[in-house]
Amino acid sequence: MKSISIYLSLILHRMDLPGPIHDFLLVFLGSGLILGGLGVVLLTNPIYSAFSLGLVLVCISLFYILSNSHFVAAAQLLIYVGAINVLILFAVMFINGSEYYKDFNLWTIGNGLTSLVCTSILVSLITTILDTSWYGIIWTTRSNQIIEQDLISNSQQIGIHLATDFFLPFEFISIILLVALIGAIAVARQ
Amino acid sequence: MAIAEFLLFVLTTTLGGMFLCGANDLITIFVAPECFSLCSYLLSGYTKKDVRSNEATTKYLLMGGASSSILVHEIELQEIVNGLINTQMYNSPGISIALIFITVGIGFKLFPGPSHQWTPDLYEGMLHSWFSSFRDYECNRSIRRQKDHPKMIISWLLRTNQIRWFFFSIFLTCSYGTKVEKIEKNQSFTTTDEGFLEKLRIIVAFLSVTSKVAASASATRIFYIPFYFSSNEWHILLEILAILSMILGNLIAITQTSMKRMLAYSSIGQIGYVIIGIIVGDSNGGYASMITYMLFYISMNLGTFACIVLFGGLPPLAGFFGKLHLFWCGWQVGLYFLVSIGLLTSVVSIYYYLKIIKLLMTGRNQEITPHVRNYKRSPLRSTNSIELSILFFQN
Repeated sequence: MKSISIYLSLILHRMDLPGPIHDFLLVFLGSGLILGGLGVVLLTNPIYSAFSLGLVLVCISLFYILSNSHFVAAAQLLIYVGAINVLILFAVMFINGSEYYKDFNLWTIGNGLTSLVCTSILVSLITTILDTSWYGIIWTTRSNQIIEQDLISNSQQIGIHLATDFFLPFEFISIILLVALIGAIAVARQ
Repeated sequence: MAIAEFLLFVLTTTLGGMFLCGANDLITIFVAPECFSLCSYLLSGYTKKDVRSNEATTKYLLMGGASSSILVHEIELQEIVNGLINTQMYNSPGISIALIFITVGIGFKLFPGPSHQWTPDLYEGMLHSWFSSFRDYECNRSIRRQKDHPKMIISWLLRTNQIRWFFFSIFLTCSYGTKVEKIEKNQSFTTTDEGFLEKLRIIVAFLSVTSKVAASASATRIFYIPFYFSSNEWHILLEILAILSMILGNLIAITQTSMKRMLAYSSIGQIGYVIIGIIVGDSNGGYASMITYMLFYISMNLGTFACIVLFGGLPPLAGFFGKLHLFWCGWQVGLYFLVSIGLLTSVVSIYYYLKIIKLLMTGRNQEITPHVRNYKRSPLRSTNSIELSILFFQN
């Protein structure tokens, strides 16, 4: 964990927080994330689940701030918490209170299989992250980028890439948004 | 149910498929299937009155959303893989993880073996809703006054453009020939697979075919270009997928009583054959055989979903050449196990195709025979022309 944070600070040449506070915040946010996730899945009242999903998304945003990616943190807060979570809450509030599941099987064969698959994915991801030499990748890809990179902030770099390299997907996404809007109206109207 | 939204969704689906085929970077490979899937969900839920179509749409949407999230994680891992490839680390676990994720993500769109559960429900729900709405149109005089009923739209499209579609299909087969050359010379894939625009009769045919075409086109590019050095791993993965889909698709299709589900399962089986073409790759014309087979698959499926009666007669003739070429390429490369399973399952598939012919000949279903008289000529003509031009271009 410490090595990963050192590598990240090497990329960005800025490490705003000294070591112990950084680690403490990592552990704190991580535990908040796990607790929120458990809350989403295990709580019976769907409104409580939706609010703990909001907690999870806010913790992820704070993780981004800890990694010095301020743009993504702000985007996460705006879009995930501000739009998607609010939408989920709207949908959840249409559910009648008396229809909560009172007696459901706590553990089925399907649950066992799914937990096996998810645990294996978790273990494989952890081993992959620990076994990959991030140092080599970072220093190899740094040579391909523009020269004045340290003078330009992260948000400006994202803007430059969106306007030059990824212009076509950017415009295509606007078409997707248009179709989503029209589709929502077409599906929902009487 | 207005015409404007219908046409918009169809066109945007087409656009998404075209962008997927012509994608050159990873962001487009993610955004284009998103567009395609979104419009497909909207099209499949178009007839709101029918409960079964709503059920099919919901299932499709949930599965599609889950697979898109897997694909997103794959894209993120793919960036890592690019870095790894730059540092020449070909055997790290990162590459295998990225490979598994992308196989699952793309595997959903193509629906080979393990991801096939939602397909028959989708086909059944959508066909049921479309057929029932057509039946209501025929039987109910008050609906006929609506100018924007989907049946009116589709029949108008076909009536006005029948001859043009025919020549357009010939032109498309010529463009397929040039595209095959481009792949074999490893050029970029700048044109798109537009074979599905031949006959826009029923939207389920459109959806099923388009998604297959676009997803297999992108699968060939993704598996061959970035993952070139770990080709052993994805060969094994794709072999497993191909075997599963061929066996599952064809075996379950035998036991089906409903025609629509049977067609859905047969399409699952055919994706297995297509995956053999992907595995074979560039040497020996593997991509050429895949595209050839895809073309036959397109014409067969569109004809099938349109008139449901001529499917049995044609596959042993037209599709035979496509399968032959696929198996021949596979045998040359050395995939003996795969090709033998393919042969076995195609024998099995002939059984249920003949069952459809038998059902037609005994004349149990009176509704279909007027359609036979009306539509018998055009699918025969177009499939023969496609077959001739393919044979011409295979040399």
